[in-house]
Amino acid sequence: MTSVTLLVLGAVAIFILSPGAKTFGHYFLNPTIFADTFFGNSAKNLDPMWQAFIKNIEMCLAAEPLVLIWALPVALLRNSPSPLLAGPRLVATAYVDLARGVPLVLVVYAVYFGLPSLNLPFISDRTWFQYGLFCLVFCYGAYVSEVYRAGVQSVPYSQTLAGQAIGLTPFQLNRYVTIPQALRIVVAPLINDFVSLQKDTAIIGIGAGIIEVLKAAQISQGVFFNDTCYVAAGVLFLIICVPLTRLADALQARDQRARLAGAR
Amino acid sequence: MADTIVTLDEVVKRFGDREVLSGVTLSVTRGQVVCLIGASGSGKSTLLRCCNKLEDIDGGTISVFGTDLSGDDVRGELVRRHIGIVFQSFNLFPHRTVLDNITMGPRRALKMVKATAEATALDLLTQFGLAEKAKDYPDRLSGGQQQRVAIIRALAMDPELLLLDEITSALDPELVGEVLDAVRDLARSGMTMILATHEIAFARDVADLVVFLEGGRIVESGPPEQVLVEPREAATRRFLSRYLGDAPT
Repeated sequence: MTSVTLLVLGAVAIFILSPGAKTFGHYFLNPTIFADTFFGNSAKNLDPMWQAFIKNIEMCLAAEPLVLIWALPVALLRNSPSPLLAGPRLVATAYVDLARGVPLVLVVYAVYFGLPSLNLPFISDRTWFQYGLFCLVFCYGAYVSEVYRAGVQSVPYSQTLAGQAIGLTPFQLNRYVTIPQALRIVVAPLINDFVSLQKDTAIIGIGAGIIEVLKAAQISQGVFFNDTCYVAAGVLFLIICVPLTRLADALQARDQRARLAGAR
Repeated sequence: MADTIVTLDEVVKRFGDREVLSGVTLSVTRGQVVCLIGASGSGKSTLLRCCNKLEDIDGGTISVFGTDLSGDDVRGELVRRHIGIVFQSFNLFPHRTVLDNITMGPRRALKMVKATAEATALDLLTQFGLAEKAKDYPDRLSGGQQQRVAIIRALAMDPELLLLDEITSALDPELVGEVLDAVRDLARSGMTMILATHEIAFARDVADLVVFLEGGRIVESGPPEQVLVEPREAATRRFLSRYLGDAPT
């Protein structure tokens, strides 16, 4: 406990006692700029940053259900042993590798600049918001499908045997035995992915078009020539993310206790 | 001529390179209680799992109720609706109550209406002295109670054949009795059963036919008075003396 306190105090001391502390404070921790950025400044024609943050929240709330739905068939395909599905399974695996391997920011560039230039009906005339959703669902669908897959695989094989033993069809086995048990296991990891997705909505603004929180911070930075606006953006994300991570931890701990209590 | 319901003919089963069953021939008639004995790894569990198509065989034929299970067009779940199996480690569904564990098969696989399935389940629970546990989750039950629920779950499907795979091996010694008593009652009621067991005394008590397996082959089979008391084969005698210690053989 005391050693932790010492470490924290030490870190704070480095900032306070460093030769550039005053300059750092002025450019990163400026209360006036923080307030002007956060609540807006009509004299400077600057909109409040929390309004831009609503765009981020909209994006992540719209993307998350789509991610949860889209990831399910991907995971089931990847887990299916059927030789009939070998082709689709290969496509699903290739998709997961691609979407997990390419940084979101590159996907954003590819979609924002690539899709409109194709000049296709429907595909090329979507809104920025829809393109953003597509990027998020594309990337996070792959992550979440792997979470599902791990969840299904962590249900013991003995449960499959027990379900088969009472004459369930493969579909019923998934529906009543495997998936309900897998869902309990994956709730906490899913919240973790949701937290990541919520943060990564900031990347969508890089592409252009949408004034979300990172964009708003860049605009504010251009007005004040001060980096406190980025700190303000960080604070906004923390307000959402910290409670969610706490929730994920609590659920994980609960799940752990349930398993130790003797659920086989 | 007794009504033969299970016929195994030269059944071979391999897991990779390892041959677990090497030509097993056996037939079981209605109402018969068959005890499989043998050391761990002798093929008892695999033999049971082949009988309800939890495992597909690699050679020979198995026919159950006149259906040849070796055919590719035979759907395992349809076979298993007539054949109950109970496992060594209970395998109850931890996310469902005792009652839901029992009614899942009748409701989903047999499409029985909920009220009927629950009435049947409660009757069985009462019969096994577990009526007050209906709404509990499996982790609230002792091992012996869980295993009895697993037996009821199999019985709720109204099976014509029951396979019991070392169902007392995972239990504390003081809980073995209650489970064996339940099986003994079932045997008396005329249920056809094949059980893999290490309980030699119990086998002697309930079995109509005792089958001794070693290395995936049937070494000796016959009535319990013969196989368990006056075995013809040296391998059977060795096995029994290991299990029974100094008991007369």
